[in-house]
Amino acid sequence: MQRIAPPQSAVLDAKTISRAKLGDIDAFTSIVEAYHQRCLRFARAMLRNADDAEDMVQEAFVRLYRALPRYEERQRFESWLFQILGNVCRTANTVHHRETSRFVDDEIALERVQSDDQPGRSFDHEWGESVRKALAEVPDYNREIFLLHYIEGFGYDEIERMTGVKQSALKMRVKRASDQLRSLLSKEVGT
Amino acid sequence: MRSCIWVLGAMVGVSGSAFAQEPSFMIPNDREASAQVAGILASARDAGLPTKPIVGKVNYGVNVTRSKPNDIVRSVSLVKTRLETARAALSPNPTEEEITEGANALGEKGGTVEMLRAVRKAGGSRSVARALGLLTQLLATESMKPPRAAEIVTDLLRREATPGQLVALGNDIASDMRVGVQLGSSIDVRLHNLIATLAAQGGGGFFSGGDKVTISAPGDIKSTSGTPPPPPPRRP
Amino acid sequence: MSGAERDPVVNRAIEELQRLPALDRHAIDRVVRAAAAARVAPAELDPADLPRTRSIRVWSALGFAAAAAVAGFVIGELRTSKEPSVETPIVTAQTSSDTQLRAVRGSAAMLDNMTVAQEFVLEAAQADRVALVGDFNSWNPKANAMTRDAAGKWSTTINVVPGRHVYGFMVNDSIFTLDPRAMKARDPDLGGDGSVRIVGRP
Repeated sequence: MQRIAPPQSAVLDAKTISRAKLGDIDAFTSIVEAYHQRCLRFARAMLRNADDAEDMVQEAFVRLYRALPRYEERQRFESWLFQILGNVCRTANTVHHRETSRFVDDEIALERVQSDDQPGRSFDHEWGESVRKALAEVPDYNREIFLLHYIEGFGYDEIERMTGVKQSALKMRVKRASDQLRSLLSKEVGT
Repeated sequence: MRSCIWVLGAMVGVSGSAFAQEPSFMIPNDREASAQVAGILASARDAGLPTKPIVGKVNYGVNVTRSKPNDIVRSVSLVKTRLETARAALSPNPTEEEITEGANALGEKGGTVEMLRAVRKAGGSRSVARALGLLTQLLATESMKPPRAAEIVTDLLRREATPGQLVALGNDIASDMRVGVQLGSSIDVRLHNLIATLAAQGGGGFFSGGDKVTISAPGDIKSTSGTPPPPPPRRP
Repeated sequence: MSGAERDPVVNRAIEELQRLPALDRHAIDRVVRAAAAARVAPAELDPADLPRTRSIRVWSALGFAAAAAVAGFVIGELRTSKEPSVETPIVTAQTSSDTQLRAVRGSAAMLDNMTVAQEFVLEAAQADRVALVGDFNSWNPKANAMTRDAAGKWSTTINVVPGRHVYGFMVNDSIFTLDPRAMKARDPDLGGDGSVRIVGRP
């Protein structure tokens, strides 16, 4: 059966953000702890070269930290963070002009090795590889919105505010990504 | 010869300072065309329109494209019409530069009066000269759909992008395209970077939530302030 | 679209993609150290990450206060005849029913339309004379003659307002030449090509 990573939860309140704005490094550390896994998950799926994910996540947090003093809480903190991360990933994908790579993520493979043995674990591993390879085939602009909506849970109205792309276009991008994934993965599951 | 001098004198008299400062402003060997252009220029000046674009068009036609006099007269007339149209669309009280930039936008394929009105409305009381310059640049870009160009500019204005930011965006897009980046890719990156900056500045129109946010794995995202985000899709 | 409505294959893919990586303390430490090291004085921040400065907001507030205090007061136009393309800032405060506050626009216009020095260069060793022509000097070949160096490079530096400019070079008073390093723009009325430069802020 599928094994999902245990849910992480942390409470990030206005005080933490306020302290981080003033340069409190411990408060900023709390922010990084709260979001690092999600950011890494997003970056690995978003980048053409997933090996760069940790560097890009670091870059996004550094940019966030620099801009924090000017954060005025008119934007939901989470969407601001993913906005910056999305920009960093998009720039990395565009500027470096890399070929879409076959997704090989040694760290994810290592995590699976380290996790408890479960029936069907090797099948899970292959399925995971297949999903990531299929996702890598999806064009960047469709993949990003798919990830923001279905994986990170942002609503279309919020993504519209984050990206400036109209909701109707966002929904089309998600649909195209879904259709493409279904088409690529159906062969894997024999449907 | 006398009639030629008379025409020259009339041209100087009618158009005053423009001719005095622009000695190259004449259509060589064509008195009638020169007089027509002089008339258009005088009419524009009397109407309070900027005259530099008209002078520029004449010089461009004479010196650069070596166009036929009739074509130069026609183009000057078009410029004046666009200036008038831009002034009306950008009212009330547009600056000279806004009128000039607005006329430039109207001169591009796909540029419309409605776009200018939309830019004015989005910019409010702020100067929209640079926004109109960006609009012109985008309209002049082959792969850009005009409605999208207008949408980008008006959206950025509503997000309170400064003139400097709009110019920088245009500069970045132009630089990207020079090195072979597709327009769509460049806009994707540059526009979204700018929107992120604007959002951090508080011009993104985001609600002021964020007092208390519970971070959790998908399927359990909660927010105790503002409009809660919709939950991510549930597992079947 | 809810999970129940989505394709089951896509749902399974989403489940897979929703897996979180393990919490990596070392990576978090690296991030925090990098951020602390990068925390620099505001003047060194990347302009793309900087928000609008407080000074303009203060000016806006003062502008509104001035408009409320003064009735039907028009400050008028400034014109700098030396600068070919300086925007004319109009600062107007009115108290009619459809008051249009121009103080903000005027101040922004003044701040954002200060000219920028721009160098234009053309390699033309064989030319006798080269002039810069463009929208900033009304395409007047007599306005900006360029100077030649020993290697045959012609250049001139002029002040232009930030924004999009179309230009070219007149060689020997008769041959119009584009800038080989610039993008092109077509004149909408007479059909010729010009070179485009987007001039940023100083």
